[in-house]
Amino acid sequence: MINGLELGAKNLNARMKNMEVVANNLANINTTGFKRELPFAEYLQRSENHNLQQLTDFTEGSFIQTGNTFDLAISGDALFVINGEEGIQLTRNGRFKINDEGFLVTENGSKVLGKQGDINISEAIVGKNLNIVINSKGEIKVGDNVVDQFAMAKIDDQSKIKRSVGQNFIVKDDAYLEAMEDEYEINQGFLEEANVNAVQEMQYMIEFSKNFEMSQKLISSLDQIMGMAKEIGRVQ
Amino acid sequence: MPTRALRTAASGMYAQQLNIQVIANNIANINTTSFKKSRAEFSDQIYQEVSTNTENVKIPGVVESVSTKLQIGNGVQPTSTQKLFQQGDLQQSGHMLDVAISGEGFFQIRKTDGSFAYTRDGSFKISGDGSLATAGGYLIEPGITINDDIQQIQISDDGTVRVTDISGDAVEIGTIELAKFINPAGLKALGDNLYAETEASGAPLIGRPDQEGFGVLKQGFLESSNVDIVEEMISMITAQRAYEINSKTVKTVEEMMTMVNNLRR
Repeated sequence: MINGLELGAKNLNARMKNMEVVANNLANINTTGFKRELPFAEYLQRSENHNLQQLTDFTEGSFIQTGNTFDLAISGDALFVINGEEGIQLTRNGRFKINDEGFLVTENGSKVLGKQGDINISEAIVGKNLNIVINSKGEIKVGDNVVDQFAMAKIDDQSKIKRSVGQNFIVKDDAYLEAMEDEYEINQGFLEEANVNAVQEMQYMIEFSKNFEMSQKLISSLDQIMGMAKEIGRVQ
Repeated sequence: MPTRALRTAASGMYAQQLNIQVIANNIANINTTSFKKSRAEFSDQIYQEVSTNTENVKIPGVVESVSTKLQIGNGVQPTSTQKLFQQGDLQQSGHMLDVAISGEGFFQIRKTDGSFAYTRDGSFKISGDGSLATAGGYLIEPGITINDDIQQIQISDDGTVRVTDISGDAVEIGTIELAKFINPAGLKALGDNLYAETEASGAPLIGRPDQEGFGVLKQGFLESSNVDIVEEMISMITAQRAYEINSKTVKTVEEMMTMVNNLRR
């Protein structure tokens, strides 16, 4: 019976953690390039070897048109590569800007990696009146001149990645798998919205709170039963 | 008591509140000449590693799970607002000194402190000393001076300003130049329909309106705001629902906590 109590308590804990995952998904419902996290309880129960794995849902979010030159959305199974302070990071958040040295950077200043190293377009644009076009293969064209091409990555094993601020994923040992050109398409002037689905999250939320309630009932019942066990054999 | 889920949901509600403020500003400026709509941008917050197995209970017959660290996020944070520089509709005003830009350029003006600012609002006036100025009273750069005794002012597509004086002679008195930015989304909005250059926008390129990419001038027209009321209404509904769903999280977590408190009566 003590075991029953412990199991109940464990379940309460796991469901609360799950609620935190759902809460985070819902809070980020408007975050560009955000990928929802799957609540992990399913794997806790179903996996045979009890080796928990963090799972990110990489389904594509819908695109929103902004018309800005450096707003990029990826369709297909690939991510941008960022050379940040914490090493190589991958992201689907294609909201970039140019810093004062001409480097293409993310919102928090990390450089974006191209096939020829950090992407720098200062030489190609200074004093020239040319349009910057980024084609579907990620080639950055200033006028007719191809300056660089985005280095694109894909994720083959989710156990090698960790989440980080800015909708980024830190890769273990900075080793990423390069994505082939036919695996992705880059859309200039678009941003990818979060892939959070409110219906799905609500369903989880209901499931977790009910499950939580059941565990709570279980514990209360066990408490009562133990109370009764004490009474057995007492002479009235 | 674990309050992370509550704080996460609170951050979501705060983000949506900010989102509504941005939308409200867009809607309020729906009739502002050359107003460019904004969009709030968000980012996720730091992730914390937690163990799912806080109590390592040994249960007979159950293999103890390998303690794997899981990452749980802490919610959302607003990062910036982004201006969307899509072209607004050109509306005919018929006024001689109204000039709209059809294209990407900006008028360059000089502020009172001597620094430059940029605007797409071409509802010009003639200031006291005869200079061409914006509605806010800022002089355009390079300056154009217009004498009193004129009949007509003609501003052509390529920016050339011609005046016809009382005797009927047409004289060219200057050219309106435009500035262009590599990344206009990086410009800083100063209010008064003015923008300032930043690191992110890059330095301005100055050119004549007929040069490629600068856009042409249309005399007698004004650019209306690029706010689409339907789109804003949809954004507002989405933001409101998102706010609501985050409040649901708060409620659910609160209920869960109550249940915990009721474990032992």
